[in-house]
Amino acid sequence: MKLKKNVVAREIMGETVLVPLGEANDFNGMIILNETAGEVWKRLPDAASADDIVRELLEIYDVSEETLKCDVDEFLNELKKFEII
Amino acid sequence: MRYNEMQLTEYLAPRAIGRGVPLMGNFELTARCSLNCRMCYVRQSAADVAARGGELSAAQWLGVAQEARDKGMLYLLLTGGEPLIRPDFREIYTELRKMGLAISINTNGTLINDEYIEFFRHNPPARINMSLYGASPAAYERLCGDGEAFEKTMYALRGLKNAGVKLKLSMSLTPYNKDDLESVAKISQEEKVYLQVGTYMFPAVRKDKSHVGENDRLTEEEAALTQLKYDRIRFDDERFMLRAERMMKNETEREAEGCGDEQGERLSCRAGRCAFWITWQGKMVPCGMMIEPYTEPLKTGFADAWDELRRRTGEIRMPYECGVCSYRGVCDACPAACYAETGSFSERPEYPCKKVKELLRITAEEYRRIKEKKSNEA
Repeated sequence: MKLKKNVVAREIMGETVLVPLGEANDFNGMIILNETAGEVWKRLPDAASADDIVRELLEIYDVSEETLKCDVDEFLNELKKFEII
Repeated sequence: MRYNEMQLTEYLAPRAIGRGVPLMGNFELTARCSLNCRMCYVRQSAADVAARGGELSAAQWLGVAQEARDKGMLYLLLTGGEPLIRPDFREIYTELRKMGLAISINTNGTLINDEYIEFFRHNPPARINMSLYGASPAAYERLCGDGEAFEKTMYALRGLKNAGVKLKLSMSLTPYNKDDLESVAKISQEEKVYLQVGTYMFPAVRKDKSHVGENDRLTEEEAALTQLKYDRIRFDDERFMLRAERMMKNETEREAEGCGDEQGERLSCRAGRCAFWITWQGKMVPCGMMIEPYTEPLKTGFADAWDELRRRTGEIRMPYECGVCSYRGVCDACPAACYAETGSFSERPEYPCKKVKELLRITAEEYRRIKEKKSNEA
């Protein structure tokens, strides 16, 4: 998925922090990703769709596909809201 | 999960301290300034800067920034003097931003014209901290030597606000501007920008070590009174009383705990533990108020300089008396203040000591006065 140029991802003590790089009305402050979000983030450049990501994560998380899809969608919607993707 | 910048530091800083990560940097880009404030601890004229070896180049700043970033720096404050006085400020700032840093800028606002407002609109920092030292040209003339600065600062304040830039105002209280406190607070309320007030001015040991213990500043009693005045301005009766109760409680609770360490307390803030400051001459110190311990990142590389700084910061001990003092929770004294006041980290500083006792006294008095007023009204 295409990442817009308005964010820099930093690895800070093992966690991913998104630092805004755009104009004043892009997302406020910074975003720190929890573990699931971090795993989704890593796969964004190579994934064509949310389903691709869910499929991959099912191999490392022992949860139902429905739960995982819900979590992934929620995170992607947040990113869309902030125009990061 | 989302945190705004304020909460994120509360989460990250303790972990960075534990791991020795230089999470927060401060770059003193210049000692030059467009103003000449009487209480300043750092300002140097352009001639003196040149005589003392000059400033670091943009390339040098960016080099050390990259090294610090690689070791985990996330937050960076750009300060001075007046950082915008550097013609290469925009160049430095733009490159720093690309590194993925949350950048704040300290400025007096006098150099922020329309061009700079547009620049910050399109390239916003995490926050701009603007000094507002008075509410009139007269105050600026008295304190900063430039009466025209007031209008320029107000122009910058409004322009940046309209451009969507996050702002904070800071006011240092001195004999020359203390009477402007109410009017500056009014500006802060009208413009809806948070105002941070400082009533403790460090002796300017950074400028000259012989300045230990002295500064053209408010007396201890005046500083306490001004602080009380500010608390009354920003808090309504209820909140003031709650806070006063907590302050007065600190007194009794602290006495019961004591410190337990015969050597005196270690540094408890982030300086030298997850934060560092690089002076305009390229020395790394824990905090901008300190002249030692210092290391030299441009000579040894950032990583070694940081490790050594942390080690030497860990050796600092506050005065024994402060560790067992009942006023500790409310006092301005910190290692940097002790050093600036006495020349030693471990010697009890007179000024903060007197100030805090006076502050507790008049706060308790005000508390009683409000309580009495309320019971008369009831």
